[in-house]
Amino acid sequence: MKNLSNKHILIGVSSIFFILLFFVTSILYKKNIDNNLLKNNQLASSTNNTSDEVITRITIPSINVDAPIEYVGLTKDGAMDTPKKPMSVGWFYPGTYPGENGSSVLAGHRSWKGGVPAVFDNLDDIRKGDKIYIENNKGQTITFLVRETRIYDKNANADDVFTSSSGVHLNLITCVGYWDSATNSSADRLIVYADMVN
Amino acid sequence: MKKLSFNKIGFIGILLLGIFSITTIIYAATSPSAGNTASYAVLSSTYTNTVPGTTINGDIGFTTGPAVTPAGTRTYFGSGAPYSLAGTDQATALSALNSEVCTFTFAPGAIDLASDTTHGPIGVYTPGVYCISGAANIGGGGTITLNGAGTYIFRMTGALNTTPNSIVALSGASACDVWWTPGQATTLGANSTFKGNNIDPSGITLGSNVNWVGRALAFGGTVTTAVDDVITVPPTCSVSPYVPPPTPPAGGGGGGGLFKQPIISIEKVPTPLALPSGPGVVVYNYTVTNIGKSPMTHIQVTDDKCPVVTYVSGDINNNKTLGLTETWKYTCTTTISQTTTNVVTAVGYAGGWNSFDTANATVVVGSALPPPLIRVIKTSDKFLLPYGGDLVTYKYTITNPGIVPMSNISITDDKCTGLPTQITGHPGDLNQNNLLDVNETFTFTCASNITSTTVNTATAKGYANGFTAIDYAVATVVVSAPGLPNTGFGTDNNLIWLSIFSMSTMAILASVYRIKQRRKN
Repeated sequence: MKNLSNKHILIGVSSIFFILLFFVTSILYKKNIDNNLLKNNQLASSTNNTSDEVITRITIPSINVDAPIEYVGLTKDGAMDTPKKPMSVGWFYPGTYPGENGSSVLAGHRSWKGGVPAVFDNLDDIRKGDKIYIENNKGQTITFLVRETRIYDKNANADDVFTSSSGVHLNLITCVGYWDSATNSSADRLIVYADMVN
Repeated sequence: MKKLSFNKIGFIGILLLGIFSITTIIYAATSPSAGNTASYAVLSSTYTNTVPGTTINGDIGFTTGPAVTPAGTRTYFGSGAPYSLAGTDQATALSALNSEVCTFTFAPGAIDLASDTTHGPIGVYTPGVYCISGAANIGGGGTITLNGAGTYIFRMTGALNTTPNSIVALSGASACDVWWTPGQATTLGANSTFKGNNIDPSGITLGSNVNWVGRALAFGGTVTTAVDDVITVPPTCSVSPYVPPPTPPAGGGGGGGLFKQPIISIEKVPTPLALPSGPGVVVYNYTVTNIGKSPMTHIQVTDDKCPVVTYVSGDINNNKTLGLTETWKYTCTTTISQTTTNVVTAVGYAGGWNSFDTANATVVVGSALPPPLIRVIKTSDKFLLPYGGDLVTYKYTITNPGIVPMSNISITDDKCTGLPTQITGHPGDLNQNNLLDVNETFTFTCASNITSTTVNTATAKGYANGFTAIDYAVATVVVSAPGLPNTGFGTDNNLIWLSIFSMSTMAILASVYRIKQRRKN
């Protein structure tokens, strides 16, 4: 009876320890993301425009997207990074700032673990002429009009997605095609090309 | 910047996948078929020429003819077949050209192509479709250089005007693949040099002494020529092999050094360099080498003043590939009647890229003093850079392939500053006479932080016997776009580590518990 009692105490202490550990780690993890987001916001703000303006939200009424914008950079492999949250959209901050000359690029998830909905689950329903709104922290909104959509192989050259010789463009990216568990990636990418209105 | 460093293994994998990817989408301007216009130097409804001294090498089509028939070689003159078919084909070609997507759009208004800097380096244009809402000019007697093999389309809603003494120069480009489509009339200034096919039913007017390699296509309009004008249909349009445009390998990250850069180099030596007693025969000998790191195929050598360039030797293993150790020889013979500077262009192809080089040479007529020759070779220590770019060091090697020493040697680069504009005391000046002798080599380096794909041109100059020798060398450094993001089902690495940490902790606690139990027992 005495041994059983010690065992129960130990299990109880361990459980409390793991619960505390989980919360502490979660808080640190979230803090790390927030710090990175803040750092990226500041970096984006300092490198892409001279004001303290930062983009905060994307809205695409035709496919019911209304999501916050994260700032993403490059992965170690040289690919555009992805947003950390399923319902966020990531703006490639080393590239063009939305509304400036060139092609600004945003990416969002199309599926998430455990069947959790993701922001671009319905991006393939977007059509030419649909409107995309980008809002900044000052409440200003830029409007883009969808010009076309294309499917790229995941390893395709992305020059024309990230660069443009003229005009103000916004390009959205998400995954499509079969899931390749070997590479942990979908086979293709859906690219939505949009042009700024006025 | 440390955040932007690259995992080499991952990068190599991505890049290899990219290189072998088959879904790369290429958008490049393409030349339409010239159809029945191909043989016409002048195609018009009214052709006006009132003075002798005009030379038209190519067919002349019209319904209302000139007062003075120009000199030149041709098959058709007037409105006989295939005149009407050519008119139809002109419209077809124009329609095809108008359907090409603009690769660069100038700000609205008149554009001076010689001084514009919005499209890229001043006076230098790479293959593409240039769209202008307004008139286009080549102002101030300036020069534009069409740099690289491929199709050039200059589309303007207004008129096309070139000022006197202005020059359209080709460096790796072919006049066959240069197209001008003005919305209003064309006027070429006196003593100007023009290249390409101009489709302008609104009318085309040439000042005196215009040298034009191409076609004046104004079916439905008027073409007017003046004294000493020369229009020559490009002789090699129908046989030019397809040279694919430079296309960066697919995939994210890029990275220097994995793909081997192809660099072709050509040297041209005319014999003799001087014809003191007047016009005579000149033999041009060309030496083509591969100074890059990839064998090249589709080698093409063309000379703008010597039409029949013949391969002589050099393909040791007869595989039609310019190997890294091979030296290919070409020759061309022509008669020179006046002091002439001509340009030879060599083009090679490897792994989705083409490389070109040019060499200039002047042969003087009526003087015994030979002009100088200079050669510059330019290489870069990196070819493909990851997104964001890197520091690139260019190396320039200047030699004298002629027979007279040169003074006032200079080297400049339009995209790299810090090179000496006047060279003295160079260690390569073996006899320390401040001249570049035929056995001497001057080398220089220049470093530049390249953040986007850059094509830059080095220019070497030297002087002797009252002539300026000049040579250009072009180098391309490519900065890759990022790879496409992986936005599918994600794996949260932090949670994995948290799980591993938790399980480890649990195992340790279990062990402690068991040890404690054993001690009690």
